[in-house]
Amino acid sequence: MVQLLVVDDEPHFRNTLLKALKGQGYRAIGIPNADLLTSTLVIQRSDVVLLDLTFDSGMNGLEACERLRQWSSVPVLVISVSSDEATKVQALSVGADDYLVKPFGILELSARIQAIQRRLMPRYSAQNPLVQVRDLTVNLHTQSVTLCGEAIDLTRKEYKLLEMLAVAQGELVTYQMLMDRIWPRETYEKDKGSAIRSLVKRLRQKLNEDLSHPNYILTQSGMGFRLNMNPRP
Amino acid sequence: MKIGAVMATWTTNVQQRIKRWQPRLFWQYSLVFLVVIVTTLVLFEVKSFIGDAKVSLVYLLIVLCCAAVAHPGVTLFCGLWSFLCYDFFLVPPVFDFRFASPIQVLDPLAFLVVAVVTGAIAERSRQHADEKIAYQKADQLRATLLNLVSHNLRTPLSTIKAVLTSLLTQNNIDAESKQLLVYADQEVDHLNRLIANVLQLSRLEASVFQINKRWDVLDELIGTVLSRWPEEAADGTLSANLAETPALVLFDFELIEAVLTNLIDNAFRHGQPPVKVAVSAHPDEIWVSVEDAGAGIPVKDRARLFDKFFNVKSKGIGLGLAVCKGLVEAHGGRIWAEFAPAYTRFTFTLPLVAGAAFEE
Repeated sequence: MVQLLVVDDEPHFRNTLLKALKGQGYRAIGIPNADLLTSTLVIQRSDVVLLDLTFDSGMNGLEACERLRQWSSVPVLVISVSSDEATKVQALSVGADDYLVKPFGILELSARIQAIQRRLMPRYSAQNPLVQVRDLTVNLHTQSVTLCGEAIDLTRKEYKLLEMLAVAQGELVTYQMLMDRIWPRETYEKDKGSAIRSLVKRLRQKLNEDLSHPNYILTQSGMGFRLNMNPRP
Repeated sequence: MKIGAVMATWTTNVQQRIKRWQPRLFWQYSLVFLVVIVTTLVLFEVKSFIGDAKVSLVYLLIVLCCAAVAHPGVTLFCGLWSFLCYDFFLVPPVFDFRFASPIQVLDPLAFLVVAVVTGAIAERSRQHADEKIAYQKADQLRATLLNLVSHNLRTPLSTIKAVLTSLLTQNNIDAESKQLLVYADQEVDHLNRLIANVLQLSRLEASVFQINKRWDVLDELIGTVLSRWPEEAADGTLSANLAETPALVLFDFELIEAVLTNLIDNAFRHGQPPVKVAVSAHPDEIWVSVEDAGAGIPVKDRARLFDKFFNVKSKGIGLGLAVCKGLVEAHGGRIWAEFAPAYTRFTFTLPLVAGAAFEE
């Protein structure tokens, strides 16, 4: 059973979230501030940490995440009321794996937790180089892509992008991660967001995506992209 | 009686004057008086060495320095006092206020004019600086307050949303109750958008508002916004025609995202589905329009549509369109509405600028 740790100073929200998560089949415990994060994680194994950013006292969430990353690689999903791009980018750059803006639906939270879980499970080892999502198949070994059984021709950058999304198994792939892999020699600037979006647009055209309801690539405003792993389109 | 009243008024007047008495000003006047008289005496001694023209320059310098640091009244006094000293001690005939020739009036007159003008300019810039500080303080207060409000409003909303969506996933709820929960959940989202609009509008009105325009893909933005209405996009009540979109347009992704979200939200809330988003290219701008099949807004209300706190159905506060207008105008674009019996269309423009550049 997946074990979650909720770090949020608002008792009503924390307790509601814990109940809701238990209703979804998770085991979850809660703590009221980020100062307790390290000691709790030492005692209680957690698969995913749900971390708020602002607390009445003690460390803020960003600091806590940065410190956590010095000794632990436990996945961190930030849950915060701040929806501005700067905060999202900052949280992802100090080591958060994903970011969900409050208020959110419990199913969306559940989907994000599953995406993190999927990536951590060693399903795609050397024995199985195929990632399959509905009609789309990515062969990580031969670096080829087929859509409805037909091979599609991708440029090197387009393939790299798709490969990253496929390997992430529905988990968020941030602009920073894309930058590091696709433009490795250049430093990240905000302006690169448009270069990445142009690349995504071309990839979408090759995958015959309809922008009004994208089948495969989902845009996460201000953060990056994820692959739609839903079995039904 | 009458005399008593007059006396009382006089006393309060005097008391007020004493209260208003500023020791700093008294020292400024005394200092100016002394500086001018000492300078005059020195110049009187050395006048023959340095010449007339240089002498008047020294006075001008004193008046200017005075204007930079002292009260405007003191500056005026400095000009006047310099005028008198210069005339009395240094302009022939010496020890006399008369002038030998009318031309000699020019120099002392210059002190006066400089004193008046520079005093006024200095005072204005000082007031300006004071106002600026006051504005900055007000802006800071507003920002703090808004963050507080938005945080405090969104936290209970988060709890409500968690409860509602959690209940919605339970299987033992009958269809009717489920529908009610769905309505409640939609209203939570609506309330959340209202909070976002209040924040956006106050940011627009604060002087700290910043816009980060970048070359970006408009298609991606429209796709991002449409993905917020997944069911409507799937059943075709929300669709987009992006055939004419240019590769790159210069805009702030976050802000135009807010504009389009508001327009589509309005179309669903106040209009009739289907809602169509379309992009069309014009010679020097891009038009983005959101059209619904509703009959539109009553004629009498149309002029005030983009005003703050104006709402056609007067439910809730009509901030959405005011926010859109502010954000679009910050981009150098325009926004307007068209009405026909069979549709209502809101269109905003983004200026097309030459020079899209990024390497792949």
